[in-house]
Formats: sequence, C-alpha cells, structure tokens
Amino acid sequence: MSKHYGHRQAALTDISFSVGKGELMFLTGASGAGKSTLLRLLYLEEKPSSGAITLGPFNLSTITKEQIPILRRHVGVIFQDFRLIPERTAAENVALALEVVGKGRREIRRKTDDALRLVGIWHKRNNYPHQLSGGEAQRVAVARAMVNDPLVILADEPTGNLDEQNSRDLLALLRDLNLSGATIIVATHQVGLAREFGRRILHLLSGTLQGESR
Amino acid sequence: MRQLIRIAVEMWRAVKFELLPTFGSLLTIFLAMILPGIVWVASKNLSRAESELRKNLVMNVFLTGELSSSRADSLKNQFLRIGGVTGAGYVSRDDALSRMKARFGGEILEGLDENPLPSSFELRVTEAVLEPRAARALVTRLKAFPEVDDVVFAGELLSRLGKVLRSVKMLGYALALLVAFTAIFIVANTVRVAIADRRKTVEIMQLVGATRGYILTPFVLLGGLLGLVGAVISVFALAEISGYISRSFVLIKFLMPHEIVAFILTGLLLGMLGAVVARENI
Repeated sequence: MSKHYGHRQAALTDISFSVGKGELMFLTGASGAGKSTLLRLLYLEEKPSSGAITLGPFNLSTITKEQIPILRRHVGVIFQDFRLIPERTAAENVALALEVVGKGRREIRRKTDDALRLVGIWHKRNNYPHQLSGGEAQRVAVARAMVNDPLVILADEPTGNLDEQNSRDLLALLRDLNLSGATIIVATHQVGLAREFGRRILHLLSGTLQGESR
Repeated sequence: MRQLIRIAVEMWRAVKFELLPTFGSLLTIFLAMILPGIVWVASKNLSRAESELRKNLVMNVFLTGELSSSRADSLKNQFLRIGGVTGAGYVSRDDALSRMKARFGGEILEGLDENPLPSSFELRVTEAVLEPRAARALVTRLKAFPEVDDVVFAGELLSRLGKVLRSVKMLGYALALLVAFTAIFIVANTVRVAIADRRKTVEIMQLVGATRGYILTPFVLLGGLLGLVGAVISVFALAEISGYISRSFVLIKFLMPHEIVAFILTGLLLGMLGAVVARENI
C-alpha cells in the first residue's frame, strides 16, 4: 500500500506487512518516517492512495463513510497527547467507548471498572484529566483503548510525553495486555526501548519499509 | 431515559462555557420571533374586524323628510326589488334621535331646539356590493329616488381595510420568511461555536466509534431548545403587549392556544433546522 499527498509528496511507498492475531509489534523510525501516517490509515483517519489494507473482517480500502464508526469500535487508539475529554472523569472517559456502542449501564460500569483496575488506575477513576499525571492519563487512555476488546490496539508514540520510568511502565502494561491476548501495534521513535521487549520491530525510513528485527 | 440524561448532559457541556453567547442568541431569536408575532396578532384582529363589518354590511340611505308609514312601506318594497339589497328597515327621525341618545348620552344634543337628524333607511346588502363599481351603481340608483337625500356606505372603508389587511399579511409572510432565515442563521452560528468549542471532544468521540447521529443529537436538540425558549419568551412578550393595547386603546384578541403551540413549535423546528445546518462541521 502507498500513501501520497498530491503528486510528489509520498508519505508511504509500497508498504507491505501483516500482523498476526495476538501479536505485539513495534513500528520505529525517526520523525517524519511515516509511522503516524501508517497508523492513521489503520484507524481510517485517512485512506491509502493505492493498495489495500485488511483488518480482521474489514477491507479498509472499500469501507464506506457510514461504516467508519463501526470499524473504529474494533480499533483502540492511544496517542502521545492522551486525547482524554477534559470535562469527563477518568471513568467517564473510559465509559465513552462503551456508551457509543450502546452497552447497558451495568455492563459499562463493570467493564470500565475492570479496565481501570487492569491498568492500575481504578483509585483515580473519579479524577478529571487535569488531576492526573502524564503516566496516569496515558493509562486511562490505554483502558479506553482496550475496554471494547478491539481487534487491534494502535499506540502512536504513547511514551512521547512520559519520562523514562513511566515509558517503561507503560510499555510493560501494553506487553501484559498483549500477553492476555490483545493485538498491539506501537509506533515509537525509541528503538532502544522497543528492543528491550524482544518483539518484532518494523523499521520505517522516509515512508519506506527498511526491514525488521527483534 | 439513560439516553435522555446523556443528551441533556452533553447539551449542558456544549453551552456551559458559552453561556453569554448562548444567552445572546436566545435574545436575538426572541427579538426575531416577536416581529412576525406582532404582525400575526395584528392581522388576526384586522381579519376579525373585517369579518364583523362584512356581517353587518349596511347602506344608510338618508331621506329628505319624514315619511308616512304607508309611503315608507312602499319605498321599502321598491328598495327590496333592487338587486343586491337583501333587507331594508326604516329609521324615523325620532328613532335616530333615541339611538344617538342611547349611544352617546343625552348631553350631546343639549341646546338644540329641534331634532337635527334626518330619517333614513338601513339597507342590508350582499357582499357583491363591496365591489366599488357595484356599490357606485347601487348608490346612483338609490339617489335617483326623489325621497333620497344622500347615501352613505361603509363598503369603501371595508374594501380599504381589505387592502390594508392584505398588505399586513404580505408583510407578515415576508417577516416570517426573514425571521426563519435569521433564526436558522443565529442558531447555526451558536451551534457552530458550540461544536468548535468541543472540537476535541467531538474528535475523540469519532475516534472511539461514535456515529454522526450520536454526536449530533445533543447539538440538534440544543438548537431546538434555543428556538423553543426564544419562542416561549416571545409569546409572553406578545401577550404583555396585547394586554397593554387592550387595556389602553382597543380590545384586541390574542392568539388561541393552538396558535400559541404552533408558534412555539415553529421556534423549536427553526432551532433544530439551524443546528442541522451547522452539522457540516462534524
């Protein structure tokens, strides 16, 4: 698959890879290498210029505008800047992912609590995002991303706003989630940190796939 | 119920940091809606006045002198044979005087030695006589009688009232159209600001798979609520204005309950339409 803006500006060129169910994979490369673009294609913020992307039962190349929300319920996304709704508490932010799919109140409560416990932030469930540290806010974002049991969790520079210890803790949390069955793709420029986990690493350079390592 | 609470909470979140602009929008909607409301009440009352006049369409045929009872009967029959005349009643000079006294009190005629009022016939005429040419023809025909001194007919006034009424209605339609666009524009802008303020929230909702309908519903209802409240305030203001005019000048009839409901529902619909116009931002 390729993605370019206009005629000349190629963001991604002839990218081809597959991620197995239950896999934790890292996507590394310098700023501007195309990591975020690749993830944006996966959660349908953008469409590829050519080629095809398949995500579970979804063919992202042929998906209609009306189907995008349905797909997004099967994709959990974590960002560098957390993207929590400021006027909602931690629990309400997590619950949002369940509310939009029309789950019942009890199920929302139970699943939200479970997710918050799993990421170790349940005790701060009633705090608003501005009352949380960076590491805590990112854990809430992780809880929101996994609460719906998505097909895949996409993390775009999830440690970008965290110190070293919090970065390690967060990646360890993602690994634990992976060990319990979640499929996760983590985009990061911190190759060294990614290597510590001994998982597959795809290297991107100027929009092209340079190879993979562990 | 859960959905309603969610929507209400989202609506509150949408306006809580924009209370002043929201209040401004409400005020503008109120001002915009009160204008066609005034025209509506005015045209309703003019219509009522016109139909009252139509119901009592009378031509006054003043005579040169008092008639004997038999002459009055004969003249009445002659009048009744004229096309367009459906009834005729003789009013003697004494009858005219007693009517005037009953209406204005005896003092008005104090100091006069004799009854100055002429005898007359009151002719009931068909609505066809409202047409100026028909009215003129009838007047000419009546004046041809040697007993007839003058003929006074309110038909011209009625026909003029009809013209005023048509103009008022046209003005009402134009204003209603203008107000519809204004209200939609105002609400659309308010909702656009609310959406822009919550851009981040909207994006996050989209990210977790919220449908457009899920995200838009609180904004559309917010628009509807603005229109509804604006219209309700307008109705109260209109009632106050009508009450004041009734107390101070002339008794006027206010809107009927079903008309009030229609007015308020129009506000609600215009508000919702405004929000739908603003939906392109999502």
